[in-house]
Amino acid sequence: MKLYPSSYTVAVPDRDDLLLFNTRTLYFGRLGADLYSDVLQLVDDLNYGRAGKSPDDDVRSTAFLLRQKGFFVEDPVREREGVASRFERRRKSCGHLGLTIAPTLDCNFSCPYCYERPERFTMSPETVSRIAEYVEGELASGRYSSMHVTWYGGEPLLSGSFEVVVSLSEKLLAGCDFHGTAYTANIITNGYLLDRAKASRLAGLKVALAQITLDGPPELHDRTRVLKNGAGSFERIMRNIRSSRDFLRFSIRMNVNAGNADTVMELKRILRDEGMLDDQGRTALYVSPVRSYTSSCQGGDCLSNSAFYRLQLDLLRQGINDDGFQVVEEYPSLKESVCTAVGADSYVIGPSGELYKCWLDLGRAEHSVGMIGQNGPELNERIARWTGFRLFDAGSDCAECDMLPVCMGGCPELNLRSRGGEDTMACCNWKYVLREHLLHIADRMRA
Amino acid sequence: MSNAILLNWINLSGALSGLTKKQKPFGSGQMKKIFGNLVSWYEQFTDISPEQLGAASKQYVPLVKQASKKVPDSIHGAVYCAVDFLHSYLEPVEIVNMSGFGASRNDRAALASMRKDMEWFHIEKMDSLGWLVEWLEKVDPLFPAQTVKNKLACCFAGVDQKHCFTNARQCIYEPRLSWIRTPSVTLTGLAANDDCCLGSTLSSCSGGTLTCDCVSGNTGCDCKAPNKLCGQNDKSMDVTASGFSDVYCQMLDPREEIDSAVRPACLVLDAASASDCMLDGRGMTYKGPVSRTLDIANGRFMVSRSGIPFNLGRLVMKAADCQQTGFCPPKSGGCGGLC
Repeated sequence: MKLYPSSYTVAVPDRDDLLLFNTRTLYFGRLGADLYSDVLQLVDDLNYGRAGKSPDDDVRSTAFLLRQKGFFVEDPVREREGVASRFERRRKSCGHLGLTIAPTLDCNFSCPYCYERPERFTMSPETVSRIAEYVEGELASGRYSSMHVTWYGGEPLLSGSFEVVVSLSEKLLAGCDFHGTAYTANIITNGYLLDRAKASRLAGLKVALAQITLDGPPELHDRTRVLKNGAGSFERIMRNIRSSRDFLRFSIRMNVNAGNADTVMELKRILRDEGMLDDQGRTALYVSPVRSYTSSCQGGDCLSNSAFYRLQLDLLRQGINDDGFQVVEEYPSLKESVCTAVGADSYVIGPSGELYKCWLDLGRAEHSVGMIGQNGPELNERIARWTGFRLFDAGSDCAECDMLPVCMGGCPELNLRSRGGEDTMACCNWKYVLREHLLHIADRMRA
Repeated sequence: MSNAILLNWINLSGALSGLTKKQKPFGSGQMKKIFGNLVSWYEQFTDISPEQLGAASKQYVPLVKQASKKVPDSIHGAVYCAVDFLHSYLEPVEIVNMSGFGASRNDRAALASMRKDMEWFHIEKMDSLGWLVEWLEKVDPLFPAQTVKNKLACCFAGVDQKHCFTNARQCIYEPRLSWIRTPSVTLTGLAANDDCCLGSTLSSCSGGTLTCDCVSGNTGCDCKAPNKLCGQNDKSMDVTASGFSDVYCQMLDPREEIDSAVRPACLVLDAASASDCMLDGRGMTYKGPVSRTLDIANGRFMVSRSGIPFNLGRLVMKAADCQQTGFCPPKSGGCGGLC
């Protein structure tokens, strides 16, 4: 049986050595370039039945180990199909119902980069009931062992909207309790209205984690995370986080653009001074690029993909993770999660009960895939855009990409756009910086 | 947990059961008999009670059936299981050998005696494993048979000051390919430097269960499905087996000179205390305590003292240091709601 180099092997020269990394198995090794060349020769000889000179046992054992760890495969086509089928398996619900619910698109903030279209409208009691009935029907079918709700917006803690979160949560919790379905929830909020009383109420409704954005130290945060009247929000958000930490875990997101990219370390210092980095994993911090998904990047401040990923690498070099609190992903990992947009049994529900698959479409009726009707979801033809999504479709570069296992096509929306040549923002960071990153890791390990 | 030898034999039995008669080294009856021999190894060289071992013996058939479903029906699958078995089989004798370096005279004599008993077992009961190595050599042209033969001979031969390292100070049987350690989770019950989950972080987990199929051996463990779970800041993971990991070989840079004046390499780390070097590469002198689970006077591994129950089922471990809690869509590579 012949052996072929894996499609997912990345080889990076490092002086006389090679760093070998496999994005499918995540094995990462160093070996002499000469030794690797001998291994390739041995494999070639075996493939073509050439006796050759009897190989050094070191070459043989290296080849053996490299094959064992997936650097050589017997069937490269099957290897690629295996990765694609892993994606397809993940898309299936596997007994999990995932909903992102936006009780309103209204917001008390006026962030310059926001892509949403604010509407002063809050989900009606009728819509709340329809959603609860839809979920009840799903749970009663016995198909689900767990469900997760992400409360989203607009700002879900606005007056009126928060009451929707409470009343709908109570209904969903009762349903899950009755059917023995595990229930978890998170909330994405700007944090301005998250006082201790609300945090306590949310915790009682099984909301475990709040994602809040801080765009850097106060002076920079207050430039972008502004109230409608232009006032800043940093101090109040921090006060709210401080007072709510015993009820909720926090995932703090920093939206990074050209204007605040050099202040990530400073924000981390502020959080450390607040004691948030030593709170036994109750607080996470991560950075995310402000991207021009829509026309929200008109100020020209957005970072290109490669600039953002280079920033991450620079942060690692500056020691952003050195205190053990990880902000930037240090090491590629297999992409196991599948975006709600292409996953089964997951919807984004807007304030009128309209359904979307992609978060970016929220509030854009022309992209809605249906409505929550009297008898559950009534889907239109636009759903096919998502159900028909395949990694290896024509126009996609994924089939030939060695980053596929750690990227899985990236953002499905951007992936679809890129097929038309519109842009290539879908690809994950590793495509741009993996080689440099591997050298960085190898250097650190050597030190 | 020190059930690695038995568990790897079960895995190998399971893998072989899917092969044709022609491909197998021998039949299921013989495999079961060898399992019985291995159980007697545990009787002789560990403190595990006969009752526990008796119970383990009774589980052999159903566990092999279970294992056969997990291991791919391929000759390579069986080969890898055999290699894992070899690693776990050699590990205890390596520990005994290494513990001998620099030990006191009395201890050295006791360790030599223990090694001798193991050698007897290896020759008499296991037929020196020649049949296994020959089978591997026959079915897999990449199998490094000579290296394995050398290592078996080295570890089981009673030659003073011979040790299981090459001149490059790598464990024999390790090729000149060094795995680069990557930041990984801290697992309760596993040593901080354990290779379990080599190559995986848990940074992008978002629901599911992280499953590691760890087997003992110097190259560490395979993480079969990393990053599946991290729902509420904790992870649970299944680990099939770990080894006698009080002592293990440190991965070394082969280019480093053995008598490096700058940083004498440590050949054997005490896993119980990551900073303790048990065997100094410069003088080949023993520095640290003898393996904590080794009862030298009685020639036994004190497995039950490790506090991890001995069984042949899957061991569930808990870890609790995941910081990335992310929503779906996750933070990287995917869609990001800029809210």
